[in-house]
Amino acid sequence: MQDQTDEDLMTAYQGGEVRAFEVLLGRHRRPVYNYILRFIGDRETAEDLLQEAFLRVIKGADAYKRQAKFTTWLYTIARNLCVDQTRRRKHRRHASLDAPMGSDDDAGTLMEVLPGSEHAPSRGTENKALYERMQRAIAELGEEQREVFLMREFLDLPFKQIAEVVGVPENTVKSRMRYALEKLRLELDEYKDLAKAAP
Amino acid sequence: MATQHGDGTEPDDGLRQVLRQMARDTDEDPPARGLDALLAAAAARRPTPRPSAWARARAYVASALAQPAVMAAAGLVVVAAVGGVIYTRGGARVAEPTTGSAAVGGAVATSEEARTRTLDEGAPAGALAGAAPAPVVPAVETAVAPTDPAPEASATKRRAPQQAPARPARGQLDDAFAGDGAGPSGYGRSGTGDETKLARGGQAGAAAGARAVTSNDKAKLDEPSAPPPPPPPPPSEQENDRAERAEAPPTVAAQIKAARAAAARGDCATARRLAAEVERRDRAMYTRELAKDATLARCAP
Repeated sequence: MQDQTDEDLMTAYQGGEVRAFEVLLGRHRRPVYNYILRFIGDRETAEDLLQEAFLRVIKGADAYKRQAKFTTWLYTIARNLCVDQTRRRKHRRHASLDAPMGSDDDAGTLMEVLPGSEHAPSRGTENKALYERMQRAIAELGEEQREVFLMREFLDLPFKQIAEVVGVPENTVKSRMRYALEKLRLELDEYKDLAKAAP
Repeated sequence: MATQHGDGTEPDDGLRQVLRQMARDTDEDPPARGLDALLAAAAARRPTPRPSAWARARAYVASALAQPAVMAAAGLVVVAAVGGVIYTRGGARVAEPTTGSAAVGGAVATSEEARTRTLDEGAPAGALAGAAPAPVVPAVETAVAPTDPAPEASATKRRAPQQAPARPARGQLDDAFAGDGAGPSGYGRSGTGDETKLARGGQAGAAAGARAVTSNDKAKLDEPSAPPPPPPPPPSEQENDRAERAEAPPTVAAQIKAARAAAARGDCATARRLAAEVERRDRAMYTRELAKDATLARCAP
């Protein structure tokens, strides 16, 4: 069953094979969680949204058509949850990189909770500084550019599939990707210049 | 400095390396807290059974027929199909009830007087009975109607309009007349009024007619449930003309006269047809009589 494609597994689950869903869960839980976490920047919310995404897969299993790619469907669900969550947050207050992320004032800021800031003990100080800078740059991207960038670079989705998930033409996706890369490249150049200038 | 790749949608080598490293270092495992709940929810879901092909087809037809346009189209198809069946099988045959034994019995029970009168009037009752089983009823009905009030005869009379009498061939008529008169069939004896016709039939015809009446009619009477053959449609005017011509070919003079009469009453089609017939049969007569005829000239194409 491990060798089966996502679509085969989903079809098997439609037929009542719970084991197929377990395999799907093991295959996609981690990348979906990291996508949501990088998009939202909050572990607790990411965990809730991950749970909700797979619950929607369970509820919508009957409606799933084999012609559709499973990952496209799954990431569409995850992305919609993220967008809804972001909009709800915007209504409450404007997000700020330095503002507390949770409902409590003692919750960490976006920069503090972004993945990698405390879960990569092996990396060096230089890498840590670089990652933090990149994470800040990613968080500063517009929502549309950020979702495209995350799907492309961290989930390795092709542009066509990203376009299906986001619901815009492929050229629009590429355009957003260009803007995102330009900003990150400038950020990286600036970091390198600073690193060279440092004693 | 690394160069940017392609159309700008791919990161340059430096940025790509950083991003790959970053993805590896910063990816986290999701907490296992909600895993059990998810698996429980997945196990609790019952797969809905796929409806059978019949149920799906029924649902499709029901939804399609819910639309007035489709319903109207389906109605048209049904009407056209029924019309086609009636046309193919013949309307009279579809609507005609089977001939009952009572009706035939009534036909058999007709009186000798009625039969004789029919024959005197020229209606070939016995001939029809001998020639073909179907026309027995109308022929007898014609004979019985004025005099015989028996219920069987009435039943026969009621059915009569649906059964147009067939036109039997002359030879059959003669034979049947003869057979009817001389044969021991028990269906009645002809009166004196048709003696000349009987004479024409001769001995052989009488015997054949008797056989025809006894074998054919009795067989048919024994099988009352057998459907009668479809009556032919009422003959049109042209068919009447044709039949008349077949019986006695008109002379050229008569055709010339008929052509003129037809032209005079405005029936140009008949006039032209007759003129062509005359021309075919006697060109000289045609040239003399019809070619320059003023009445016929009005029908010239």
